[in-house]
Amino acid sequence: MANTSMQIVSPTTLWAVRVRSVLGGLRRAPKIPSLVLLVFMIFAAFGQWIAPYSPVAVDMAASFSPPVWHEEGSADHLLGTDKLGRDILSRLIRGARVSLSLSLFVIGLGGGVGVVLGLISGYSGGKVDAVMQRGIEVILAMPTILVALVFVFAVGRSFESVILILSPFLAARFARIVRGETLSVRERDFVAIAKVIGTPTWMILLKHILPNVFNTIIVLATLEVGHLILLESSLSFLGVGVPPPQPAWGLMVADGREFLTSAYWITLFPGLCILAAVLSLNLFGDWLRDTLDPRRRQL
Amino acid sequence: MVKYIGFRLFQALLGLWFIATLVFILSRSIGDPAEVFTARNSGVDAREIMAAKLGLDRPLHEQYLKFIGQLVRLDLGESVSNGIPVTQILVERMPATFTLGLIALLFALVFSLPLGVLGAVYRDTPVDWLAKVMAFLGQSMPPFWLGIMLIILFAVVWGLLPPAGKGEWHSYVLPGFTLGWGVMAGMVRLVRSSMLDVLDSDYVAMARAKGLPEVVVIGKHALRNALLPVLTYSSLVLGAFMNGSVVVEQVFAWPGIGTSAVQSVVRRDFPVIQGVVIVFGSFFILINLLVDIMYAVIDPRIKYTQ
Repeated sequence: MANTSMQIVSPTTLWAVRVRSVLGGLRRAPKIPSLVLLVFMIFAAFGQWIAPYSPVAVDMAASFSPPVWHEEGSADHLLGTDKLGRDILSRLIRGARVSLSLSLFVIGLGGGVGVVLGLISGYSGGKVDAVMQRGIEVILAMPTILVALVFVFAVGRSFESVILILSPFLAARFARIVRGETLSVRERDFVAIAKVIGTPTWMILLKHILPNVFNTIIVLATLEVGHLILLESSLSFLGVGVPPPQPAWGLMVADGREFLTSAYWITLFPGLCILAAVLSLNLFGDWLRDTLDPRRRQL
Repeated sequence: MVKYIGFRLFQALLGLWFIATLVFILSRSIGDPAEVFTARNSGVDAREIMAAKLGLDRPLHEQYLKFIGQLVRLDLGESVSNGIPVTQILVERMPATFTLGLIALLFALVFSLPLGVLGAVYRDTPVDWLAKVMAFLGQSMPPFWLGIMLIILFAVVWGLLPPAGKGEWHSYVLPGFTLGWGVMAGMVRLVRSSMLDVLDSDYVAMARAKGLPEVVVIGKHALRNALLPVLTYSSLVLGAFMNGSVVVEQVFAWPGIGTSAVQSVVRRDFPVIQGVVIVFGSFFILINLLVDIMYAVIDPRIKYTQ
């Protein structure tokens, strides 16, 4: 790890070095996972122009058409249609946005709060740290899916309520790991020196500690997006995720359950999408961890 | 040690209180609680009766104390859809959920131990590669989808196993495997990495230097030491299963607690949901507590550092 030699470099140079090393390193990123992620990101951003149909366009005449490689299948609906005749491919493409944007919102909100709490908790130590850690342990000791089930049931089913209930769990995970990193960074010489010359605490956290825990945050965020997609799709499957008719992958799997024997494609493809996205994120995150942060093999 | 256990107990109680309060706040803060607690489409009368029954005419702090008091006496109220006490529903459904969890753990251990050990011993060979693939797939596959795919293959296409429900032994296979699959991934990684650590150690080198056969070195000297983290993980996993069982039971129409939670969400049966959350939450916290205490007993280096 280059960290030991970077200690004395000023934060600005540190950033430049890091950006350059990330850009150079990306060329060595695992090809297939990166490609899959790129495709899903394009779907999420430009889905409405790529998808051949509207994800909610009902066409009862075309209901249950099989994918194109079946004899009865037609090129009009490459991956077939569901019971309302909605185009599966279009729903998958548009579903990417639901899964990715929801996960990114949760990472932004929960992860952001978690990082701030972790920095404060790890840097201040003492009673503040103790109280925060106990709080975090309480949150981590709660069964996520059930708590989300109750919360969404009570508050009502919406994009926002799913984000709201998943964020605290994510914040707790981030806070715990960032705190651990902060504990070791704050003992370093450059922090001691910054303290001696009277740098305000928020400045020390922002300029000296944050850049040094940033690698961990990036790796954790990548791996957690995958985890969140799984959680979100589980909630959608249980009927407490993003409300229909928005095409969420988990919801599509649930929709197809009644027709397992007659129309497997309604269930198969959304599941494959979830698998492909999460698997790619995990592989990419693993590579990122090995590159940026080899000490944390167990993350 | 006593101080540490006492502290952890206090913390567990705090967690329980937190969950109970969260449920209380959720049930009172969203709309009219009488509405939340009565079945959908019930008339004004039913709502008023429920309001009186819940003591909603009383001040909030009194309601709260009464709620906590009932909890302490394990009184979780009655289901609004069929009037059966919630405690009774939970007690009846608990065995199905627990058996499923144990079977899933068994599946996870049976697959992950050999794979993890072989992966570590024959590093960078096809076995190791297989272990890694399984680990990644296990982490990335949505359990509800895996369950459905298994149903399609084993029940619909090949007709080998029942697609859903709880009956004879073979009805346990698919749900048990589905629930255990995700955990298996974590275990393969854990066994593999802790085996790798142990294989590097001096006492394994010593055992080899003594000329012991490799089977004894691996089986007796290495594996036994590598198993400690796996055992702790197994106990924690029982907690993770409760999260998974909500989904997996739903897929296989398994008559356990998870299914009743989802059903009561559909029926808007709040007392039952409330009961499930409190019971699952307590169980979750209890397992964490036991694991921590076990840790402290096994490894005296761990102590409460304040």
